[in-house]
Amino acid sequence: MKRGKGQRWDKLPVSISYKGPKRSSQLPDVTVKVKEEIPDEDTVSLEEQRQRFRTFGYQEAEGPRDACRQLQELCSQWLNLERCTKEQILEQVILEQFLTILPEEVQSWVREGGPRTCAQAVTLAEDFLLGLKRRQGQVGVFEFGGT
Amino acid sequence: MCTLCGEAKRAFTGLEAEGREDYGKVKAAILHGDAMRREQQRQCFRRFCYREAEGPKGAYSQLQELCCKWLKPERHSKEQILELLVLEQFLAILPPEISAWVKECGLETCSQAVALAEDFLQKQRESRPQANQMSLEEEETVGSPEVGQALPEIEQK
Repeated sequence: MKRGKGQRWDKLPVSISYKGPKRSSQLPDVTVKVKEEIPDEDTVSLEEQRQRFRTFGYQEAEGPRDACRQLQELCSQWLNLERCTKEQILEQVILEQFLTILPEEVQSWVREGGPRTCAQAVTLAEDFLLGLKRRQGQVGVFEFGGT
Repeated sequence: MCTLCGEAKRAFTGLEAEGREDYGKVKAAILHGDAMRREQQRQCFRRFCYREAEGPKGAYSQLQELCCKWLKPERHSKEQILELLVLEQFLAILPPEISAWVKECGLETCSQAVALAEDFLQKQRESRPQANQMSLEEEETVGSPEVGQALPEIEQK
């Protein structure tokens, strides 16, 4: 795998600004089932911890050993090594990558929903796409309906 | 010599005759092969693209499979999984010159990566006095312009 200067690895999640949990009202007729509309502190801090791990720069450390040590700490905080099971850890890694690869408009929508699990993220993504299809269907009706 | 199979066997047969008699070399070859395969699996996970035809559920399902192939939760402990994630991120943030050097070796752990990175920096420091001496002895600028630049101060982003 080739890596250019200053570039991160392919599709490795980088810092993504988390705008918070506000719901967008751009899509009519979409019923989005989410657990809570306003995420609690845990969700925000989890994302912050993930970003701290992913945005930590080599220059912040005193050499390779210190960089590695700090990364270990940050990763452990994000993935909550002490409390989480292996499956939960993998869930967060997959969730992170899933969000990264979504098409832009879907990604924004899903992130705003603050999903904590892959199942939630998938539901949000499917709801978005369903809403989009319905909207496209409605547009089609309006185009052909009038005379 | 115990019976080898699969990738381990391929690693063994890849060695020259002399090397096959040396347990240390056989072990190193097998581990190196393991590390290469793990890197391929990691890349498959990170490079997987969302395909509209499959939708979110299909994409998630494939990601899950690829992630498990890379991190192998059935075999690895939590700590080992974390080690792989940290190793990945560590290599991603290293300055390019160090990163290229370190990645050439098949890495298993962060400790190995750190040791290689420190070796690289040590060699850089040792070669610098020579470069300075050369520039003092000769009027024109000679020597590799890269010497002295592969330092932790180099910007990452």
